[in-house]
Amino acid sequence: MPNAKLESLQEGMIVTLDVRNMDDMLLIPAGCALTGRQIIILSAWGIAEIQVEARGDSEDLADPLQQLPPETLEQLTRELQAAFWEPADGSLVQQEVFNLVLRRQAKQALESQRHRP
Amino acid sequence: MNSAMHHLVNGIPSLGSYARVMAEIETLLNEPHSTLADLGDVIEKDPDLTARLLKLGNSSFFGFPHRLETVSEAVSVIGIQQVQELIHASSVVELFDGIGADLADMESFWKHSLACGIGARCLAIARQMPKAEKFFVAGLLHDLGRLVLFSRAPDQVVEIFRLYQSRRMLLRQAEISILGFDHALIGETLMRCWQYPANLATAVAYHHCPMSAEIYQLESSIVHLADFLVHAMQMGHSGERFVPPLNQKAWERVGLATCILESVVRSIDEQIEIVQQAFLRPPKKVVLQPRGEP
Repeated sequence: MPNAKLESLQEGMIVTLDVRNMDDMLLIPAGCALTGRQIIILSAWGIAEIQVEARGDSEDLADPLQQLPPETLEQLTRELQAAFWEPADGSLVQQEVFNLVLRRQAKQALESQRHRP
Repeated sequence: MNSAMHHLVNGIPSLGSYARVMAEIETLLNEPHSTLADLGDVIEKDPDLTARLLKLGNSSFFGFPHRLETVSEAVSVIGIQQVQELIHASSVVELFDGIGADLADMESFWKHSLACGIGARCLAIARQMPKAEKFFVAGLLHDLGRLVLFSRAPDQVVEIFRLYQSRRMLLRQAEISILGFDHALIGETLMRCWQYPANLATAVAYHHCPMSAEIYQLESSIVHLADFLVHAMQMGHSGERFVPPLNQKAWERVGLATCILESVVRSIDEQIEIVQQAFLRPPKKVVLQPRGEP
């Protein structure tokens, strides 16, 4: 069963392993189809990835940073670093935002590649 | 208020073409026997406003489980105070509609501002702030001062941009060099003239330096963080080419876990299009003249 990162979760995906918080409280039982609200709950509990049923379009589940050609990723990283007034790794939260935005841009780049004739 | 600031903000009307609707709502609210249907009737006299309100009410921005069919239904679930704030925010968008494309790409400017509003509201909800909805307005208006500059001082804006492009600096640093103050202070001054609540005006004033605020540091920090996020996402354009610095103490003051950021980014992505449609369509021209012109 593939592990899916939080940012790649979509409504309707089937959870294959019970999702529990750090106190072992059951948040989402296995077999459940994910709802938008549950995705927000996962985020609120700081759960970075869960196990979901494999789908035909498994590319959707993979980390977009790993799917981009290295040179494209390098260029995106360089451009994003240049946009920050202060070094993007200046603090933990700044680093977190940088990574989030880089992953978002990578996803957008992949989508535009897929839609290119 | 110094004379340059007075010169900039003096006489900018607060409500544009929605002044009549807002006055009628106020009158109804002061009448003991008025009903939600009466309020709905007043708003429905303006078909454009009605369409905007229903579009927003039925969007993921509010996420109500059932479809809102009438304005009075929208007023009952959204709340009259928030409806008034949304009308006011719409009127600001309309008020500055005549700014020339040579000074700013206004669609991109409003996209940045609306995204900041969505982000500030999400952060306030996550932080369990009372009246978290108000943060949408604070985020939406955080760069209000830039609009005042574009419409009232276009020559100085050209000078500011010339300086800004000549070296590596932040746009607000260029504003301070040329004017002696920045857009945040102009925005706050105008919001106080418009009698916005002090916490929102302060959040706008200190959105670049939230820990310098004597009061409402938390509110200022939330808008600061939303602005930083939206700049990093490169969603729309405020005129600033850099992602401005993040104040680490402001992040600590907000006190959220970093994992919240992902859901905020996701909410901005999900809601921006519908919020843009609700606020930016269709344009009605109300052109402000630069000061001193006939």
